[in-house]
Amino acid sequence: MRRRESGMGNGERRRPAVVRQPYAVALRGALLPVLVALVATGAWAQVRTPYGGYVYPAGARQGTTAQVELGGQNLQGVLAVHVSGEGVQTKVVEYVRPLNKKQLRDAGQHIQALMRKHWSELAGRPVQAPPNANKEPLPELPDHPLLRGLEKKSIKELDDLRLKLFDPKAQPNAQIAETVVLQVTVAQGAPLGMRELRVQTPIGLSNPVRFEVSGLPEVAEQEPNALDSPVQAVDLPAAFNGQIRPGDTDCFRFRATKGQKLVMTTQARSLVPYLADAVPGWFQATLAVYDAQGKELAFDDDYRFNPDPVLRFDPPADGEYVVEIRDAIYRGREDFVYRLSVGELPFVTRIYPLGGKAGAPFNVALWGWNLPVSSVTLEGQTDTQGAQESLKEVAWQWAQGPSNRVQYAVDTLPEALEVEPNDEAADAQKVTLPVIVNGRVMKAGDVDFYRFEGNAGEEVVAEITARRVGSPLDSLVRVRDAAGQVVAVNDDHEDPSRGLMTHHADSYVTVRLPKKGTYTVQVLDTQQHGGEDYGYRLRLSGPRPDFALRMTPSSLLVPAGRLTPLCVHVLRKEGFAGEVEVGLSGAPAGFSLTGGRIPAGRDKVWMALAVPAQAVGKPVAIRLEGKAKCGETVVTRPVVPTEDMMQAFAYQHLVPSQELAVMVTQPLRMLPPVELVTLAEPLKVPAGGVAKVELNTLRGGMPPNLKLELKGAPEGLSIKGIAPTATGATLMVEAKAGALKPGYADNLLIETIVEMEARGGQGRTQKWRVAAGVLPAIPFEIVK
Amino acid sequence: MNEHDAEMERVEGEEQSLLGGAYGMSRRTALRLMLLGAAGVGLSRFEGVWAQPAKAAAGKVATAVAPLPARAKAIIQIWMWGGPCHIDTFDPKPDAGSDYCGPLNKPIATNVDGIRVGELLPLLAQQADKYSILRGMTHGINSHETAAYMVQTGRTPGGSLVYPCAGAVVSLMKGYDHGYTGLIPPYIVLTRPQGRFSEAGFLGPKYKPFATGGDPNSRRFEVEGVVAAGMTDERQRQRRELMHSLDALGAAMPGNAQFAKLDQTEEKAYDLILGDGAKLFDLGQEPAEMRERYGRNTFGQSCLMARRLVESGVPYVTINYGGWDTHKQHFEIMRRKLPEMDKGMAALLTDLSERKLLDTTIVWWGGEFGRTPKVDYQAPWNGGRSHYGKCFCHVVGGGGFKGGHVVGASDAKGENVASRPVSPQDLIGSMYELMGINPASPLPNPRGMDIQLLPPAGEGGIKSDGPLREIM
Repeated sequence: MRRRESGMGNGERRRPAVVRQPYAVALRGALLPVLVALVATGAWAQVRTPYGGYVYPAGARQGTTAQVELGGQNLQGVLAVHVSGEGVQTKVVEYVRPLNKKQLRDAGQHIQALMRKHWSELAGRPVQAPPNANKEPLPELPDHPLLRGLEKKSIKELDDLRLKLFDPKAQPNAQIAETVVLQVTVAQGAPLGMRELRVQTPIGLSNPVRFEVSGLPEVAEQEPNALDSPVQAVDLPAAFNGQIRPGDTDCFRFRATKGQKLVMTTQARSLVPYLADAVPGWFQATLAVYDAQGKELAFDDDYRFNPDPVLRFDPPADGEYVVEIRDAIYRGREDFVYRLSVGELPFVTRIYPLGGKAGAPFNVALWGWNLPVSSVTLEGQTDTQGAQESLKEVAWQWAQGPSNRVQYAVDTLPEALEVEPNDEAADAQKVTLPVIVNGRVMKAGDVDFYRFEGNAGEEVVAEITARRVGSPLDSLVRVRDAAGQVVAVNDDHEDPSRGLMTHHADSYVTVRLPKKGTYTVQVLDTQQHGGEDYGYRLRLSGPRPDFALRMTPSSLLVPAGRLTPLCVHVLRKEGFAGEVEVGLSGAPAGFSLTGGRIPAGRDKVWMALAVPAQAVGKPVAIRLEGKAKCGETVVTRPVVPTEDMMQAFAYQHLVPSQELAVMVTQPLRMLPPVELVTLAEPLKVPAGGVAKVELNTLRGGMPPNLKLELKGAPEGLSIKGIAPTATGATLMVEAKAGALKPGYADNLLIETIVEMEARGGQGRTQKWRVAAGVLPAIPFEIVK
Repeated sequence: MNEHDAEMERVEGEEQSLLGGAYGMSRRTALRLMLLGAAGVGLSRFEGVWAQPAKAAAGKVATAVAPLPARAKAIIQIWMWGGPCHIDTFDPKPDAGSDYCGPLNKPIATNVDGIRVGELLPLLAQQADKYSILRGMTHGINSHETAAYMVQTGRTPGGSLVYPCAGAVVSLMKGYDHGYTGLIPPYIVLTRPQGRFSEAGFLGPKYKPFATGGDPNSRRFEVEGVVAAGMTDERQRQRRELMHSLDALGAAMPGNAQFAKLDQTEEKAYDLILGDGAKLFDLGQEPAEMRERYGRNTFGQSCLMARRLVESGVPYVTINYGGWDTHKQHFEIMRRKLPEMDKGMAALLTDLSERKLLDTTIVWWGGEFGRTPKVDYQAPWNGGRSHYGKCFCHVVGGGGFKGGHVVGASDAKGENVASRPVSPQDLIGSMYELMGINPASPLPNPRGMDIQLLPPAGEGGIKSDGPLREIM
């Protein structure tokens, strides 16, 4: 591993010196490595958690070693990059910091001088300095990967570098300005599929970044590669990799023969799901195929509702063709990374029915391109104990290659198939509740009718599952009574558990039937589309209280023996309002969860995860699950780790990760500053009053620079004061009158923060806040 | 991709389609239409849309609802496009901590006891007796388009009608339909159209603002449709003569009444281009010291231009001042832009006051919302602030508004309105009253519905304590 010794080049900030505070001695040993990675932005420095924005190339083939770049922020001091799953090893080659303004200016002078030298040599005349040239020698350049070996570069290479460094169309994006160069080795037997990369620095463990292990030959773009560029043709299949810069189009030339059924699948938005600071909030890729004469033969800008395009291309003749990829509105930057797989690859376009009854495997018919089978057997178990339904995902490994991932549903209710004709009210198909009807809107404008008998006051749910399992249907459900009056209608219903979905097209409606009689349910496509692909599952049943659980974040770095906060969200369904008990599932020894309860009425609760007292060499995948009584059944649901991602400046999504990765590092030599005196019962906080929490401290009394703050506390709850005691302190927690009602229950999470001052250059003083972990979560309740 | 650029691209596209699609007009055509209105010449093609009904209905206004005594003659709206941060400008919260204030945690005293403003506004601090700060502004909308619509129309977004903004309403009630005879259109935007919504709404293109284009800080302020880019006045005159020499139909029909009206219109148009209009837009006529006082930048010179327009009788001028959508590099941008704003706006207040125009001119400062009080230090924002419609501030001064007051308050962190909520309709209605426009006046609309200029207080569930009586 080659890493710069200090990372401090010319013009960089000098290391600040810790100057005082009672904890300075302890901190100097324990936290100095941490401090040097901090940079003050204002009066207080912010803790700079590493952030991963992209990986390029975002995949590698089994049995190969590849050099990849991981772009992000706060990556300085990178210690390791961890990959989920088995069979992939990484080695950090180098951390590459962005050039500062002076370095950029100096680099520009060098490039300009070298290009002038090349041009003069080509013209056969002596090198002439520009009229206003500075007589000073060129400034010395820092050792930076982009600037190494400038003298050996050709005019073309220098010009490419000039454009890269000084592209007027490029905008500065600090969140992806740093890079870590990695060597990634994929074992021959490494399982195919998507992995997650996480960067470990002394400060933290980054969010996961997606990286694919593939079985295809990998091809990286070589600029220039626009449509009119001389690009070398390759044989298929291949996985093409590239990055789209502002205004960029990338082209790949390939050889194909008539009769081939080529499938081109793009991964762009699926690699970097959301961009917080862009509209649209992802790389919106388009694909086009051209013949050797440059005539466009095929184009696609998305696959159904998925922004990543998929093209089926039948070459009209033997020869060379070009596939072009770009952003739909010609944006671009480093994290506009893509992978484009091209070949006679299997691709499933639909299954029918879209699911089956839980309890036993069931068969579904299969359609698509390059498929070796026309039906498959799907596993028919719900995911967890007590669950009445599950949405599942499956992929197949065939001789032609791996298939795309296909979603389907499993449910405990009786199943039925749509029976045509049912396109008129008079032909409405009779069903008996509860039921799941598997149907299709077979043509544009088609409306499917179902009828059932209901009783006055009966509550009925009509739910469509289509878009959530890959159907292009944009459903609308309408319920009419016997007189034809609409008693309920719904177009879209948001399902926040689907974090990657931005158009929640599936319909959902609950209706209390006004009287006994026959009711008709209509299912149609609001966009007036239809066809065999437009499948759906219509659930007609009484309400089924249920829940889903999510947590954030999905990467944690914790010093051994400490606790770290995590937030667990409950997504309540169909009237479920009860308490959820949350705990670890099969965790290694030493891990434990405090505050593992989501009280009735709460949608999210902060909990504290305690880790073992000894460091662990690599991230540990920790699973959590929640149990709750739904009706008469105890239902268990997994707590799905997610990243809270923003899209297009405004919209938040909980995007699932493959695992919760917990990195347990060496213990801080600084002793725990505060210990909580264990409470036997939830803390009772009087509404409009104060409750006391007893704390033991390290040396008795509270150090003045040790601060306690509430994390994620509801509005109206605050720390009123801290009173010293013989053994530590009493923390007074106040519930503001009127802000929280009696009966409100939640967790109190107390964060310990050490504040320090450091004197930097030119007499400037910087203040540092070092998070020293949280105390065990304290369940509390507001009482009268 | 920069949000501003992306949205402007889209918005401008929409605006093109609005003008080109619905009404088939270019900016120059719109200007011509306004001039025709000024000259009393009707164009059936356009009047068939809304202009005639609007005019007719507007005619009823005088009899239907009594006008109010007017204290203000004009409004200068400094539109802080993108949403300025309330905490870093007129509602500082130094005690909220660094997570909220960032490095701007040293507010400064003003020339009014007890009022403090952000540390980057030292010149405006010395003018605090001339304006009042509304610290309880609220509407709860966090989207540019809908919030801009709400703040400038006083109407809740949505519904089947697109309402006109305050400038268009002033143009309706104080423009050519009600005795305004100025050569310059009654509703001017310096310099780019606002673009976030259709300013005139259902009133139609006649009441749209005239956006000048150009840059008042450039050597020659090339006002689109008035000052031709790269063309001297002499060449302009020669072109006119050439056009007349080719006007065979006009020559063959001397004395035709319709042609006479068109000649009259043309005369007005050339007055605008080569006569008084051009002079008005010629900032070179201002002393160099005055130009410096406002700041030699687009905003500063726009403020100066606004003063000249108001001085000449234009009732509504918007300075469309962009660049406040500071998701990233917030504090860097504040340090760069606030001094520019401070200088231009302070000079405007001083200049209006010295010319005795402030008593009759409302200066209205504000954007579509504020910004999240808590600084977002996480990637990709790295010290930015997002949109915040729950609590923000606006500033009003002159034209009958008292100076030196603070109306309402936000809480300790600037996150919630603590007292005296002010809704956009409270604010707009107060300005209408000072302009002598009764907010209860009927608003002509395409459906002939019984609609008033402003909705009842509290529409859309927005907190409101009514008009700003305490400072009127």
